[in-house]
Amino acid sequence: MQRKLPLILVLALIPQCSWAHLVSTRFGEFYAGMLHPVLALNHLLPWLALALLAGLQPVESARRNLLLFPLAVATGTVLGCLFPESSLISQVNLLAFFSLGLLVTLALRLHQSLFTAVALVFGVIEGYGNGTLDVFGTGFLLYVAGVTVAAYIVMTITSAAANWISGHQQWGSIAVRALGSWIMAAGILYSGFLILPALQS
Amino acid sequence: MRWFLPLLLFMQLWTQTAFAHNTPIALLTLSERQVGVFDADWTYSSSTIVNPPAPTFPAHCTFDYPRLNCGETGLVGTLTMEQLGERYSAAVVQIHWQDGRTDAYTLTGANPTITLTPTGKLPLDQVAAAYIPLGFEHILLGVDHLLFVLGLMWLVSSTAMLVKTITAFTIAHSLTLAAVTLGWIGVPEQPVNAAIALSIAIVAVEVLKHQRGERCLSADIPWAIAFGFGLLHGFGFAGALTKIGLPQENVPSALLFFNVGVELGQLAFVLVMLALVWSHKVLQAQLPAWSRPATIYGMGAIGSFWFLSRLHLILIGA
Repeated sequence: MQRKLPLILVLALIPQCSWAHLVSTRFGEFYAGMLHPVLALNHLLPWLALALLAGLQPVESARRNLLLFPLAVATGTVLGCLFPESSLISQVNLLAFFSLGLLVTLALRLHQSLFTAVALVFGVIEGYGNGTLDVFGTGFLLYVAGVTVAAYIVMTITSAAANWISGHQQWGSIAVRALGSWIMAAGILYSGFLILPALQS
Repeated sequence: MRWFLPLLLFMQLWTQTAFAHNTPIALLTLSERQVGVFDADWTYSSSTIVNPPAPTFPAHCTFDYPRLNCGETGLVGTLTMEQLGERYSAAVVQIHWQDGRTDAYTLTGANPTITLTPTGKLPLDQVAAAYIPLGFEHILLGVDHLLFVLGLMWLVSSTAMLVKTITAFTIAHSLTLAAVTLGWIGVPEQPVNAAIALSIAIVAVEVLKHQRGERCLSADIPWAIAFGFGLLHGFGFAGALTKIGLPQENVPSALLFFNVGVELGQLAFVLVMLALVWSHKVLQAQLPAWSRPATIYGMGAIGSFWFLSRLHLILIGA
């Protein structure tokens, strides 16, 4: 089985089309966009990990992220809707899932420009993963606006909560790091679920 | 900021038809011609829909549109509409029985199945499952209601006053919602929608005065403003509920659960807004000084635009 492992890892990196699910809310495209990333754990957990990481950074980095991350997500969502050949996105997303959780667990304070770069790259990738072919015209704009607003709300509230807890409670930073480790563990489990079918075949 | 005003006024002259937010409903009328045999008739209107949802009647019934035959057993058992939720907010099934009685049932995407009983009374959980999501949906799709609530939040200066103001708004709109749906009073829908739009513009002006430090009554007693305009917004909620229809045997519970849905939606909106304000304080994120009056002007401009558009619809008799 051990000999198979590298092959499986390589297989996992083979490009595949991954279609975003359109959340049918009947509330219209704006709410569909808002709920799309929030209702899928593989989108929500990495977002939370980035927000927790932002909360552990100096407040200037977290503050800058409030604007940059939603803009990056909006750009990615537009690209994802227009060019939906998302071959490597799910694999990269999986990597982000794990690595962001790891960074939170380690409570690493990144240089401001490095953190901004991480947030921007991750935001574009995540936005791309939230793209869908099922929206047109005004619906397209509403959908992109919905995803962007969700990014803003999740990032703002979670990073503020992480910042406040880690700054005001003695156990705060431990709690945030524990959450990061759970997200990292979820990332490992999620990878396992993707690799398992290949192992069985 | 004054240069901004002519631009806003110009933008308001841009004529587009403005409708109150749409809640697409499909109505299935079943009229009993002889015992157990019904004539079915669909009435549905929505800008994006060409077909009504497909009903699945109890197993002993045969349905060949427009004829439904349930034999001597009658129309009892489960009725399902699986396609609800994607395009239609709800489907109302109206049954006109041979004895002159009429029953109405509402199915939604969250509650696509109802159990038809000989008495026409629905279990409480089915009424809750149908009407709470409808109320929740109505407030979240009602940007006019949400903008007004946002304006109220801007007027208050303490948590206690916010609680008092939102409670006053809730009580007021519950009163008129109940009064209209129970048939105690009747108000035409179009003027109500226009007045709701005007209430947003008025609150925006009051917020602006309050922000400038000018004395305004609405900042001193925001709960009174909330109560007064809340009565108006209740008429708007009632318009939606009247369109959906209420099951005659379950009017009080349906009304209660619709209102619960509206309150839950309103509460969710208020909590998210408060959480965002708190988060900005924690992260010391201050928006530029011009952004606040610009937002208030924007809110007032939207309210004025909706008011003029809705007034226009009244004047042309649309």
